[in-house]
Amino acid sequence: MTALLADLHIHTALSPCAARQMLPQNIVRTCRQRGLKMIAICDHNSAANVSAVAEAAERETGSALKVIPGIEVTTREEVHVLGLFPALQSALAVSESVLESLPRRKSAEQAPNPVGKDPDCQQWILDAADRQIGTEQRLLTGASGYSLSEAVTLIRRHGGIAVAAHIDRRAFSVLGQLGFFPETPQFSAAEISSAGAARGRIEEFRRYGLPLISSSDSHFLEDIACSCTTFMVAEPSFAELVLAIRGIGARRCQIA
Amino acid sequence: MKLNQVAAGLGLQALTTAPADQERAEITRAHASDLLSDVLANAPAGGVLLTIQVHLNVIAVAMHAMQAAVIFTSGMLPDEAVRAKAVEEGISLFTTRESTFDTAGKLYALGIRGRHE
Repeated sequence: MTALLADLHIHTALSPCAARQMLPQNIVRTCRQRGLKMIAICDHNSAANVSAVAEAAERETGSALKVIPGIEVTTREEVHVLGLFPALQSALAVSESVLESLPRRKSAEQAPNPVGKDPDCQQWILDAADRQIGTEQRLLTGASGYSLSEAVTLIRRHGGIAVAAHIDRRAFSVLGQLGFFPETPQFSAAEISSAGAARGRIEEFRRYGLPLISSSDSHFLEDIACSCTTFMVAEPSFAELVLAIRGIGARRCQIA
Repeated sequence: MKLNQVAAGLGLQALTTAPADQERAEITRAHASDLLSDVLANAPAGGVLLTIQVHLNVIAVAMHAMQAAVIFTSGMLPDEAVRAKAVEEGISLFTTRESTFDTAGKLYALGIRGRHE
C-alpha cells in the first residue's frame, strides 16, 4: 500500500466561474508541483475537458499523475453532486445526458456569460496542448433536469460513485438546500470544502455516517491542492479509490 | 386569519384535504425560502411556507419548523410521495401559478407578517 495525495474536485476553463488559466497543461504542472498523485476533473454539468487533462497528464508525467474522470452535476434542487467514474466513456455518457437536460440559452450573443469572474472565460473546450477547440453553448452553471435521486442513479448506472459536494457550505450543498441528508439516495462519500477543513469542521460532519474527503474545488490555479485527501491504496486507480473510501482491507482515506 | 380563508383569498389550489380543525388554524406568520436550511433556522412556528422546492425533505423540514401549511409557488407540483407524506404528517399543501413574490405580497395584504414584524 502507498499513500497518495489526491485532490478530487478541480475545475477547468470549461466551467464559467473558473479562471481562463485553468488549462490542461497548467493544471497538470501545478498538481505535480504540489505533490498530487491523483486528481479528478469535475466541471459543472460537463466532462468535456476530462480527456484533455488526462492526455496532458500522461504526456507530462507518464503515469505519475492519475486523472479520474468526473463531473459536478447541479440537480433540480440546486444541490451539487460529484460523479467519479472508472472510465472516460462513462463520464461522457453521464455528461451527455446532463447537458441535454440543461436549459438552452436564448443565444450566445444575446446572453453573454453572466457569472464568470473572468470576463474572457467562455466555457472553453480544450485539447491537451491548451488549445481552445470549442465553446460550450449551454450555460453550465444552470440546474440540470435531474433531481438529486435521479442524478445519483444516473451516475451509479454508469459505474460511478456519487459524492455529496462541499456539505459544509450553505450554497449548493445537500444540507444547505435540503436541510439534512434525505434517506435516499445513498452517497458513497461526502466532501468537506477547503474552508470547512481549514476551520476544523470535519468532526461535526461524521454524524452523517459517510466517509469524508476534502478537496480544493479549485477554480483558480493557486487553489489547487489547498485541501486534499490521502488515499492508502495498492495503486492509483478508480477501483482502488472506491475500496479506500469503503475502507476495504488495509485501504483507507483520510483528509490530509 | 384562518388557513381556509387564506387559501380562498389567494385562490390557492389545495393538494391535500385537511381535517376541519386544521383548516381553521389561525395563520399570522409566513416565510418564503427555497433553502431548507434557512427554513429550519428562520421559519416562524405555526406559519405558512412559500417555496418552489418540491423535494421530499420539504415535508420533514416543515414538520420540524412546525409549519401549518406549504404553498408551492410558480406552479410547482410535488410528487405523489411528497403529497402522501404531508397527508400522513398533517401538513396542508397548496399550489399556485403565481410567483413567490406575488403570493407573499398578497399574504402581506391580508395582514400576515414575517418573523420579525
